[in-house]
Amino acid sequence: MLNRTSNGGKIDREKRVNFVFNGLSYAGFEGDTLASALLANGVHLVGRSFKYHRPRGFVAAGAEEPGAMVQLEEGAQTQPNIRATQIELYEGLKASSVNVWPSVDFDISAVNGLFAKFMTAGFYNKTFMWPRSFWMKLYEPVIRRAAGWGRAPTVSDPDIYDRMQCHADVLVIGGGPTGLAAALEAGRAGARVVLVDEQKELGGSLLSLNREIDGKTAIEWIEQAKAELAEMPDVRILTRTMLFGYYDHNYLVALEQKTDHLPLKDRSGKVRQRVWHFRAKQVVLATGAHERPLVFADNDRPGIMLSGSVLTYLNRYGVFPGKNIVLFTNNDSAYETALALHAERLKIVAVIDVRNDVTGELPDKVRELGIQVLEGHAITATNGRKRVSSVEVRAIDPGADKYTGHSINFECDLVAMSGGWSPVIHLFSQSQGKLKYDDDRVCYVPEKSVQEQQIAGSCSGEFLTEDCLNNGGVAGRIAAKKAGFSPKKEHEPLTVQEPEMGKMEPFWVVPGNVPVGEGSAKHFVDLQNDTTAADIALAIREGFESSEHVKRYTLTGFGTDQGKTSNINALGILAGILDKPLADVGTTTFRPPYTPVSYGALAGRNLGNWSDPVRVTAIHDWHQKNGALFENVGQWHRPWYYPKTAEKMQDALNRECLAVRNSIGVLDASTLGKIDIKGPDAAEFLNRVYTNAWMKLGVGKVRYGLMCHEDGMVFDDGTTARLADDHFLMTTTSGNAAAVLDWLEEYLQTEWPDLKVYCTSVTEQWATVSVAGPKARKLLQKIAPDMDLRPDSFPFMSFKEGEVAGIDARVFRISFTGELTYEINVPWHAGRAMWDAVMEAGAEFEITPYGTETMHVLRAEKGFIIVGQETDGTQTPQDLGMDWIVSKKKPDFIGKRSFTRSDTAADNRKQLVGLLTDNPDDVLPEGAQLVLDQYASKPMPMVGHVTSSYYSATLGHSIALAVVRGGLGKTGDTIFAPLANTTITAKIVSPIFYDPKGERQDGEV
Amino acid sequence: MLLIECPYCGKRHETEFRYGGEAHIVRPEKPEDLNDTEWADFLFMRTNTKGVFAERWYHANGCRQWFNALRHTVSHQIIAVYKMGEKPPVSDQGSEDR
Amino acid sequence: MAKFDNWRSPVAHLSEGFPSSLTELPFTHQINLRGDITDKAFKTAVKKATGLVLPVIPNEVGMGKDNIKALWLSPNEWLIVSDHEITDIRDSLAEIHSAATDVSANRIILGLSGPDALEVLMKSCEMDLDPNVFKTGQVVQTLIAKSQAIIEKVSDDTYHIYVRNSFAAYVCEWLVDAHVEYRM
Repeated sequence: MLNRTSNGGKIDREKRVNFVFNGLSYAGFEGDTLASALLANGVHLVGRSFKYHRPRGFVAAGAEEPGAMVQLEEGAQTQPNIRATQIELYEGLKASSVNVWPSVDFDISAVNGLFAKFMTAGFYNKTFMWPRSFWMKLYEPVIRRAAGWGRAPTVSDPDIYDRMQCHADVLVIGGGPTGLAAALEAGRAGARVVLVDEQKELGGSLLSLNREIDGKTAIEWIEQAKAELAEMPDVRILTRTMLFGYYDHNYLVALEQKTDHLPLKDRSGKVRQRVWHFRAKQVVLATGAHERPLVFADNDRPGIMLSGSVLTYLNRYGVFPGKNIVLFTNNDSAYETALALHAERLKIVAVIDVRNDVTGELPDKVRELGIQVLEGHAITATNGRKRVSSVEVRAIDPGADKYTGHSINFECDLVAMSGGWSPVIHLFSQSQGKLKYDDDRVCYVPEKSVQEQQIAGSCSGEFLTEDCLNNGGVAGRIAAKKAGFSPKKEHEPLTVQEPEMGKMEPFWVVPGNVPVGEGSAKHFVDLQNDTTAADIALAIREGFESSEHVKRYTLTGFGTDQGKTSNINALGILAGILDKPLADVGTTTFRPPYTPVSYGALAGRNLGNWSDPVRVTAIHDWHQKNGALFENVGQWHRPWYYPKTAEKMQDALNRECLAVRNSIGVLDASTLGKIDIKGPDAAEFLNRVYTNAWMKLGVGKVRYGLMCHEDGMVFDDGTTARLADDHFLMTTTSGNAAAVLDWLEEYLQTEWPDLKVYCTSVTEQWATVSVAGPKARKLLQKIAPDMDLRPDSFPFMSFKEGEVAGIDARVFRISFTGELTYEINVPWHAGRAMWDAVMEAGAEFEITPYGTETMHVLRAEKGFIIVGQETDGTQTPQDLGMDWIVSKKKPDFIGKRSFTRSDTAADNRKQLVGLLTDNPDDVLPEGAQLVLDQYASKPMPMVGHVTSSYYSATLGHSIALAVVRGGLGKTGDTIFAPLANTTITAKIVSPIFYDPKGERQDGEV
Repeated sequence: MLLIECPYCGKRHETEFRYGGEAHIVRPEKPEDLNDTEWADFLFMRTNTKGVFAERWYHANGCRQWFNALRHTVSHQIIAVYKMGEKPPVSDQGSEDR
Repeated sequence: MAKFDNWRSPVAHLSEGFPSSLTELPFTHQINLRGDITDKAFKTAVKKATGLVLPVIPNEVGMGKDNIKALWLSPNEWLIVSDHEITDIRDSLAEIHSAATDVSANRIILGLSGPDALEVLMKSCEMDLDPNVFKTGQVVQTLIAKSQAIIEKVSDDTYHIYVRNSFAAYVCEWLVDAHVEYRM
């Protein structure tokens, strides 16, 4: 490892870790990131840039890294676009560059760079607009190949992800000095504290800076803080956990990486990543600050890095990313880096400072070491193909658009730059907090919180460690107090030995010897999106002056980076060109996620069968064992049909339909919604929610009802039985059970609280075995010998209670098929026993189980609607030809008033009709649009559509239901369904195709 | 995700609730007395308040009770919750000040 | 208990895969009771028929003698759970506006216990179930994964989870899965 210091850093030099990058083997130490290990091996070139395919290296050491993304691992476990600065090194790690072909050293698309002039801001918007047909075939694939990043895996993800819900009194985000101090104080007050940090170890900036806290080294202080927190039972510390989303009412979401740091072989079976969902009474934002790059000519070459990140690599990882170093800065922090590098006997070529009259503790120390400091100078050009090799430096010519003075050339292999520090306000911004521009600190800082939160330390613009510790402590105390706890002792401020920092000078873009945008040099603002200062100028020239427009036109701050290093530089350049104060330009909105989160992690365990609950009946396993295919009805899995071996779907349906018509079929109807309605006003209540009359329904009788919303549109239907004077049992459609109950409760609680009625859901108290067919009575009599089933004793639309197959049951005589039907209701857990008894008793009648598809065919033959199939929320009862069920006498019921609204009462509404195709074998596709004139010019005027369509084995031809404009008055007319390759001709008929007089409902006597 | 205080069960996550639209819209006693315009107004027209808004919530996955809330439609701050039939406890509806 | 003779649990086929901390409780008698708690006659009738003083404090469980209890569900709704049949409640309430509905077959009851129970629930439920917040003798109606559920805390580390039958397999599979990391 070429570039390692001899000692120091938070790495274990006893433990070598082997890894492979771009096919070559390297070694690092335990504690390294992939980035620090590569830099230790002298590898700077990691990838190619997004648009121009320019060679790129490392800029930063953490989450703010704009480039340096790699493809991690291979096959099913591959992940694209992971920042090398955030990958903990593990034994056997394999990674490769992204956005390169054929290799990072020789990239064909780099010719894009030659055409760079034509690839300015808005390039995509302007170039690929026309012709439209070229998009799918040409532009998009080419762009995707050339301008994408890594490759998504092509096989499904084998890893396990889950979620955990956590409630906290005080949630502290960031485990640096501020967050540690906050967690300590809140914990001491007794609050339930969660401390979240993205790194594998706590400490944040203290791991990079050599500070002394109350006479202890920073590392000793961290250990002491960790030990104290570990003693507190109500404190939870989550490391390797990136808080990525901050939502309303202090709801926050974080991603914990549980196994990503382990060798692949040690991960199997374990949860790889866990999404934590937090609800916190108080949040302490201790998210720190990011250093900003300076924007100068060709500032993107590998080896040009942020000064603070260079210090992190040196102090935390024992890595020096270069040996001949130029520092370029507008503030004092770079001088600290210079001193640290010098102490490692590395050559400081020069410190280039844009400021004049630079004095102070750090600059003075640097000068005392004999290091050259050039004040009032700037880097105006850089050289080097795959690594910076030299820089050109010129004196600043204030106000000029180009600096043409004498140029000094410095050879170097590393440029450490600092453009100042920006508070990490992303989460604050996500929480809807208002930002303000602080002229003194030259950055945006939080101004006004919308949520219950405290902001402390660098995140609030206080960059000194001592301020961070003490503000953090105070913030932790306030948060605990606001969450209802009382801090016991007075706050004891800490003292920190640290250099004083002089004033920084904003400097947004450095011209070269030609103005920005002229010549071939590029001044990169956003290294992830390849946005340059010239792009921003162009956007403004083209009229995009607001920060939000500039962002979208130039892509600055887009992508996985969300503008961590680029945002304020872009705004500074924008303000400069517009000649406005930066405060007036305004910042853009930061959106979640703060850093990318995989879909796998977001899905968690909600996969496959668990993506939505699968609801099944008590008889489900029988259906499975007997070969049923299933259909989703809401969340229910219902038997669709039961094909016998090698039987085609239509053959199975024909067999099932004919069995019901000729003998006996049996259906699992347990999914129907059931609501117990009880109280002295129950009948009155039903009278108001159904369109028909209910007051006079006799006890023991059943009635069909239709429900409408206030707008008069049909919403649900079903039968309701009167169990007693004040007691009813309502059924609803399977998918609507919860909606109907909620709706009933809504009216009882909000509109008619005076009605004495209680509703109770009993959907799953009762399993329902529906036996239908002319021989149904014979079957039932076998298993219910004591029940009088004669039609005059047990007529249609009534029910009886009694023992069936030895089980207490309630049997309803209703029918959705037109045949004699008994719906046997028994307690859910006895549903399977009842089904078995029915099957056994039915064997002699060749009883045939049938599914939802046969049920649909049979009811369509009878012209019965299915809510949600014949209706879509725009049909009145009258549209469905069901005027007979709308009471003319009741003064009011839900929906009544709307029936006379001019639109609802219009006679040219879409109305339910039956269709018979000219060719009896043609089965119209459901959803087919209908026209009256098949030769009309396109677009043809459409008058309706097919809602249900089947082949009817009973009738020997196809049948269909449809809604057609004015259809009730068009019986006998011809209508057409123009399809892709043909047009089907049909005749409009009554929707009742079978047994219109209802002669079959009593079955065989 | 909002944290909503059910007046019966206490603070629960929004996932347990269903939104019920604007509060204090009373179903007319005698709908037949309304002309089409007035009826359409009752059916469809709602205020689109920027600021404090009185709205209904239903604790669908909890106690199944309907209640009212005053919520600021910009900040989502919930100023108060109150039971059905009660009047808003504060009278700054429509205010944008919060 | 002749009543349960023909009964079969909707998760019978899953119980072999249950970890020791997850069990299905035997069938019990359950009544969904609705009524006006400010009506003295209602309170008295319930007391007379069941021995129970209905809890009026939200999310509380009222315990009676002989393994009978009332779970608060809403200001006018309780779930009465009992080892023995509650025979005469409907007669006692006959003259009082109320609804006592047999829901013995409406839900199954799962027992979840042990040191990992809380974390298993944290993976499954959004409620704050921290021992300082959710105490023994309390009950909540909420969601487990995407299914409605009633969670009753019966001791320091034991919960009873009431789930509707059609969701029972889904919830059990979810809870078994949530245990996997603790069984490794």
